[in-house]
Amino acid sequence: VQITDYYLAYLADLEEMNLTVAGEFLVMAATLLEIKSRMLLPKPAREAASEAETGDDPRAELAQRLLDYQRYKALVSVLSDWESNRRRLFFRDPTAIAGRYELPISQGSLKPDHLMQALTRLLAELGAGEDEVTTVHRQKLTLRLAMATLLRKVHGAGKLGIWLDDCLARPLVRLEIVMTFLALLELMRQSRVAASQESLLGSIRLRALPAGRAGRIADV
Amino acid sequence: MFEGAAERIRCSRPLVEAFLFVSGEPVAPAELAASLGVEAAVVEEFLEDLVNIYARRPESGLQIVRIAGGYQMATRPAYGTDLARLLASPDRARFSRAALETLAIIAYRQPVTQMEIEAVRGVAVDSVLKTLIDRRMIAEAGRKAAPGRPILYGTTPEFLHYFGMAALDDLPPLEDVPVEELKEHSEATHKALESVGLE
Repeated sequence: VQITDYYLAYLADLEEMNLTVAGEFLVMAATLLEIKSRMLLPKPAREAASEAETGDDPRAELAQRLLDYQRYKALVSVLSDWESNRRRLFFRDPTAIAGRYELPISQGSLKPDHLMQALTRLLAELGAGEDEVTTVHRQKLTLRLAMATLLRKVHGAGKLGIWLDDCLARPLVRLEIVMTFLALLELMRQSRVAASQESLLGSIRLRALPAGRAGRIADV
Repeated sequence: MFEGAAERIRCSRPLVEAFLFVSGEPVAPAELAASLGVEAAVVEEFLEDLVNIYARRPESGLQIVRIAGGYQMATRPAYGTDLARLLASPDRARFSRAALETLAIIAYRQPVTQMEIEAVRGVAVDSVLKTLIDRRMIAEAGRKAAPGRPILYGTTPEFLHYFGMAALDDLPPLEDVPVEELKEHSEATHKALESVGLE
C-alpha cells in the first residue's frame, strides 16, 4: 500500500528528525490507518444506516480533531498576550494582622558586611571545620595512641611547653578533641605532664614532667 | 455586654473600597456580602462603582480589576515596567509554547485526563503537566470513572489570576478561534491524507 511506502521512507529519515515530530507522525499514521481500515470494513446494514443518518463519517472526526488542535495552537498567542498584560499589574499581599505587626526591613538597610558577620557567627557556633559526615571512616584513635601523640608533642616543645591549642590537628574533629583531652587527663594523672593556666579561661600550657616524680604524685 | 458587638456592620462603598485595600486576594462579592449580611448584588454594585470610579481617575496609579472570580486592587499597567525595576523583582520564567498549548487544552476540555490531552497534542505531556502543577496553574480535579481511575486535571483560580481572567468565560468559544491555513508544518499530514485516499 502507498502509505506503507511513505511511512518507511519517512522512518528512514528519522535519524535526522526531532523525536517529538517523529512521535507525532507515528500517532498520525496510526490514526489514519485506523480510519482507513474502518472505512474498508464491511458494516452491518443497520450500523451503516445509522451512520448515514447522523453523518458520522470517520473522516469528519479526523478533520474535527485537526481543526481543534489548530485552534488550541492559535490560543497560545492569545494566552501569551494575556500573560504579558497581566505581568504589568502588581497586587498587594494580604495586610498583616495588627497584633503581629512587624516593620519589614527596608531596602538598603542591610549591607554585605552584616551578612558576613552573621555567617561568621553561625560558623563559630557550629564548630567550624567539622565536616558534614558523608562517609564514615573507622577512626583508629585509641587513648593509648592519643597519649603517645600528645606526649611526643609536649616533649618536643621542651622546657617552655606547648599550648594545648597547638596540640590539636586542624581542622578540628570532635572525636580528636575528646581523645586529646582524655589523653591529657590520663597523662596528668600519671604525672607525666603538667598543665597550667595563666588566667581564668585562658589558654592552657602543657609541660613535660621528669619521669622520676611520676610514682609519687600518681599515688595521690 | 458590649453593645456594639452584636451590631451589624454597615455596608458602604468606602468600606468595600477599604476592604479591597487590605485584602491580598480577589474579593468575591458573594463572600463579602455573606460576611456583611447583605445581598450579593449590593456589594457587587459597590464594586462595579469602584471599578468605574478608579477608571475615571487618571491621577491615580491604581485600578480595580475583575480577576479570578472577584475584584482586586492593582496598579495600572502603565507603571508596570517602572515598578518592576523599583522592586527589583526577578523576571519569572514565562510559560513555553508547549505549556501554553497544554494549558489551553485543559482549560477547554476540563476535567481531562493526561491521555486525553496527549490524544489532542500527539505527544507525551508528563513534564509539561508537572510544570503546570508546580506553578499551580492546574490541579487534580477528581478521578475518571474509567479503568485505572486516571487523574482528571482542571485549571485553578491561580490560572485565572495569572492570565488576568475574571472567569473561564473570558476564553473565546473554541469554534470562534480563528485558524490559520494549514501550513508547511502539517505538510506531512496532507501527504499522508492523500496517500490513504482521504483527500
